[in-house]
Amino acid sequence: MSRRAVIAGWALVAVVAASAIHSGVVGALRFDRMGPLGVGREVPEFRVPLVDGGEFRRADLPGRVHVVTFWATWCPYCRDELDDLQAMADRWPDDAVRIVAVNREGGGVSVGEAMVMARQYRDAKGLGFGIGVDDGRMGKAFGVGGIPHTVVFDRTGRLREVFQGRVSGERIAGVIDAVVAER
Amino acid sequence: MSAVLHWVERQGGMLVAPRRTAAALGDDEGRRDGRWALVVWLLGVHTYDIVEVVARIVALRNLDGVLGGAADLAFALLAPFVTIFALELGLGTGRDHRAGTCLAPMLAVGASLRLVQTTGLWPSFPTWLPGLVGAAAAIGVALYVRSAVPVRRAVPVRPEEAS
Repeated sequence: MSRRAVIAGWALVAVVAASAIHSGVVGALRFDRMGPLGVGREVPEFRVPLVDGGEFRRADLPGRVHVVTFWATWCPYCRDELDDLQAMADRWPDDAVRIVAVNREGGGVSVGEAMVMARQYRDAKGLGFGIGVDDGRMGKAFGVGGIPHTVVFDRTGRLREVFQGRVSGERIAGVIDAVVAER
Repeated sequence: MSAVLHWVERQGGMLVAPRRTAAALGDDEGRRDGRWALVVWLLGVHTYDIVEVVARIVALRNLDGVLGGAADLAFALLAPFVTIFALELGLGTGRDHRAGTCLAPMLAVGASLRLVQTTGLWPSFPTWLPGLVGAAAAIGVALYVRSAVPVRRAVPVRPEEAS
């Protein structure tokens, strides 16, 4: 084969290597900011309004186990998960496990409109736990991509489990059982 | 010469003199080029995505992270997989064993585009662009070299049929 072929081949190897190394270095530098907020990471400051008034904040986390799920009224998997969470709300007393469903309606829906939609959905389904509405900042802080996205905090406010996508109620309940049983 | 050096020469040859290179290859040469191309594609185009997958697995620390990461990597390989099928169709029966070797332009285009993106020279283009442009380049080269690729003889099923 010709010398040109050899040079072109090594040029291809050099481009691939340069691309891989550069992407790898850039990725490594951003590693901590990639993906969802992970287990054991410091929980960022957040504050979302609740549809019944008041707020849900990071400062509320210590003292009891928290289950927080990000959802939207248009998301069928989220609706199924909210049904599962309602069953869990009936199983554990509110002073042991607090469930908060944070709405991320998206699609240009304002926080005010999302408050109305979320409240109507809560009333129609008879949900007995807190419903908040995110203006986008809390979801960004938690690295929420798709929904449902569910996180479990222990009594100290540490992030203990992250579920991306629809997971069974049994799996979430298993994690809650384990965290509640801790002293 | 080692298999790696032969691979480098074949890839370079497919970039600068594809017809001559394809015509000169022996029957046994480049049989694994398709598999190597998948690895090179992942490294050259999707290293950042691989780091993201690792970050998600570390963050989630559960099976969801592993399965989601596997799905992401499978999705990253979709473009070369589909392109190989298109190349086999384009080359036709008896010449389709050169499909993997014809992926060389796709690797060059994909890695170059990813490099100019990550270095900020052309920061914003759709994520599917390297796959699409690379596939078009590979298919173009395959159609260009098609007539120069010697048709491979059918391999007999049993050794005694070889005579």
